[in-house]
Amino acid sequence: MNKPDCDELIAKLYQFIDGELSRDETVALKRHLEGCGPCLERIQVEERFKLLIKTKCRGEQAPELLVEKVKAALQAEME
Amino acid sequence: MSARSQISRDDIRRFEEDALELMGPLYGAALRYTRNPSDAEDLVQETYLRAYRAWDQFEPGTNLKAWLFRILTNLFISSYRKKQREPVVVSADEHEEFDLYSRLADRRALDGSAESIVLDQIVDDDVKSALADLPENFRIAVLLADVEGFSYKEIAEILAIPIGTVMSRLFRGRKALQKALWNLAAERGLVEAP
Repeated sequence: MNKPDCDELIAKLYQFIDGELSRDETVALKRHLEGCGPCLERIQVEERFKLLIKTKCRGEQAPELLVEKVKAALQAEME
Repeated sequence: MSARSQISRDDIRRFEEDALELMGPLYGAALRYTRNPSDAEDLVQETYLRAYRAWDQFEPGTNLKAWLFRILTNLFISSYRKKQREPVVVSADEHEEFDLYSRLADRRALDGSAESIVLDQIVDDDVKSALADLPENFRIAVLLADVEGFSYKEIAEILAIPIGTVMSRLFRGRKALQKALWNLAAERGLVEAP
């Protein structure tokens, strides 16, 4: 709830949502989030945004023709 | 080719089974990199040829996807982007002040559903085109982290840059993307302009 904790969370926000913090740091920030509504909302917005990017840009299929072209090119390379 | 003859049939089968399995994500990334289906196809095909030629250097048990992405990304950076016209590069610094959370919080004071208004109405093509308009360094970092889920360390290895640089590109790329999508929502009259 106090300011230094909020500053720390903001500084490490992306490392937190990307799962890049140590166990201890993660535990400490989670403890802060339990008592700090604004920081929790901030984290949720960023997590939601990260998920948005992932879900909107994922799942591209390679065109069937490309799969065939690559296989043919590899075949030629092997001979 | 003499080196090739030392690679066993098993190796070749393994390459075909494991590496070809990853063509979807590689093609997706190539599309985001090149912003052009025909260049993306060429990039993927060239990536597989290079990977195949270097297959004896791949250590089984290590991350094949990261290895293939490294080849794809390096190939794109070293050759394909030369023939591309970069989007107008806006100064990255001007995005850094943008804070999606504060914008949403401001909105929420007026209207309880700000997040839904802004985030739910963003469609696939909005995100893809906003990503395509990012400066290349940011585009690649955001794609590797958020779309493909690579760790900072893996991204650092793929791009041969320090982890601190990965973090800074991700930070700036995400801010720029948030700002671009916010502007889009503003154009549609969903929120006020920044």
